[in-house]
Amino acid sequence: MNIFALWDFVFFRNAALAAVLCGVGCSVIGVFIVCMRIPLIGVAMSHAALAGAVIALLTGLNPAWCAFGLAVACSLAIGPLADRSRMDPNISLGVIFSLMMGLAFLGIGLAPEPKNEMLGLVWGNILLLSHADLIRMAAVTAAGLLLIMLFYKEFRAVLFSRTLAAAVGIRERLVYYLLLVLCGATVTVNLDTVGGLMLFSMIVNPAAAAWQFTYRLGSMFVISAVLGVISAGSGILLSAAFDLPAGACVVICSSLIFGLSLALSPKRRSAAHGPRN
Amino acid sequence: MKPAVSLSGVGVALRHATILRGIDLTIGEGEFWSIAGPNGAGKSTLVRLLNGFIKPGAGQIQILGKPLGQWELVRLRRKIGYLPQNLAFDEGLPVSALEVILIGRTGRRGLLRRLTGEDYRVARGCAGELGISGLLERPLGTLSGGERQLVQLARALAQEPELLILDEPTSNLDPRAAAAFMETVERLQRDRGLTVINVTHEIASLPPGCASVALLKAGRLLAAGPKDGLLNRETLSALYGFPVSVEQRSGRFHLFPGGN
Repeated sequence: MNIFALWDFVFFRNAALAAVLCGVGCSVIGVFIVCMRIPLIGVAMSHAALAGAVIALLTGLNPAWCAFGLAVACSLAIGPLADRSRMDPNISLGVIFSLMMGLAFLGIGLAPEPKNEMLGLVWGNILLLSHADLIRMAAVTAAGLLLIMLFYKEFRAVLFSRTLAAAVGIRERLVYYLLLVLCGATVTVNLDTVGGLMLFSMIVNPAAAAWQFTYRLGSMFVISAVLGVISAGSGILLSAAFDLPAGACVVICSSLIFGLSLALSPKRRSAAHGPRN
Repeated sequence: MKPAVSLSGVGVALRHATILRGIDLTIGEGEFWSIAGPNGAGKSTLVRLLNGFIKPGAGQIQILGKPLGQWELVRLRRKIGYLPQNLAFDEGLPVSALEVILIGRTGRRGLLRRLTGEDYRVARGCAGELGISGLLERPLGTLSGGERQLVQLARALAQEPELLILDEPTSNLDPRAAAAFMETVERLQRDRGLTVINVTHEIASLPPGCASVALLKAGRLLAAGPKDGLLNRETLSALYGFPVSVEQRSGRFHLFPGGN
């Protein structure tokens, strides 16, 4: 298939633009998720969104807003739950993930047939996006980038050490919770547009690949965003050229880029010479 | 002398265990104090009280001119350069030494305000004062333990603090690096007129410039005052709960098991 001819189709242009937006938005947020080592947030938020959508369908509310609202509420709960229980945030993510999955399955069990609509609400397809979807993705990506610029110095301090951030007089809890909500909101908005498969790979792979190349947080954001766009773009082109599922192609491309980064990683090679004391 | 820190009858209980009780202590502005005692004496709890990480269960604390309860904690903490004990961080995290020092400017600058050229100038100046300008572009994870502590000290200085609190700053350093670190602290205290509170369980790590000590045992203040009068065989044997002998060499106190 001539992939240049596909550019004439609105659905393909929309998909390409969505891939770029998702590539930038998710891979930039992915830097925080990788640095905080909380990749489970992707799974937890997607199940919160699913539970929200199912509840909405059962109660007659707007599914998209309900999915977004419940996921953001859950991301708001991660930090306080971890702090109050004095446990790792991954533990609170595990608790939230299982609760949301339980609620979603309960709702699906109670719902009348057909049930595909419920699952479709949160497992989007990048080739079926509307202009409204693109505007929503662009708005969330822009808002995320703006927040990162506004709170960059605080986010950097909190990523380094929450204890130290608090000790120098940063409103560390506010910043940490804001960071978690930002991660949760980005995951949720991209989930019902590009789909979970592509989303999870775009969160972790570009940021993990960028980690291999730099010791500067600022550079890591830039490298991650570039690799995110390359992963998404190459995946969409591969999908168009060989008529393959788009999400799967993006996952494979981003994973290959991560593998290549690992092979070329200057950090890995310097670590092989042993840590300094 | 105006007090920088004053504690009166301070007690702390955490999870139904009494950690500190009846602490009365006054530390004047510009003084260099060490809080010494065996492990579990409550030393770290005492300094964590001062920057508001723990609330006192009893007594009054006056700090930097105001009762602790009247301070907005983030504003108080911006005035305290604090080196926590065994600061854990991810060694692979992509942050340079300069970025860590700039964390000291972050609280002062406040939310929604970008760091300025002045912040960078102060951060680089503090690094220069500690002789670590050559490390600024290096990732923190690649530095040695002694270098990391100097970066943390530069970060605390970048806050332009009125009070410097060091919680076991040399516990992970070899003797040479520990001595060099404490000499640096001593010089800073002298040159800047800083109030310094240094927590340690090693009497030998007290630098000659540290004039006063507070000895804590099992949550109680055993003794407090000028170092030279306090660090004797009887007091230190009582502090550690077994007989020790004390030798003073070049302004430093060395403890040996067994009393003569």
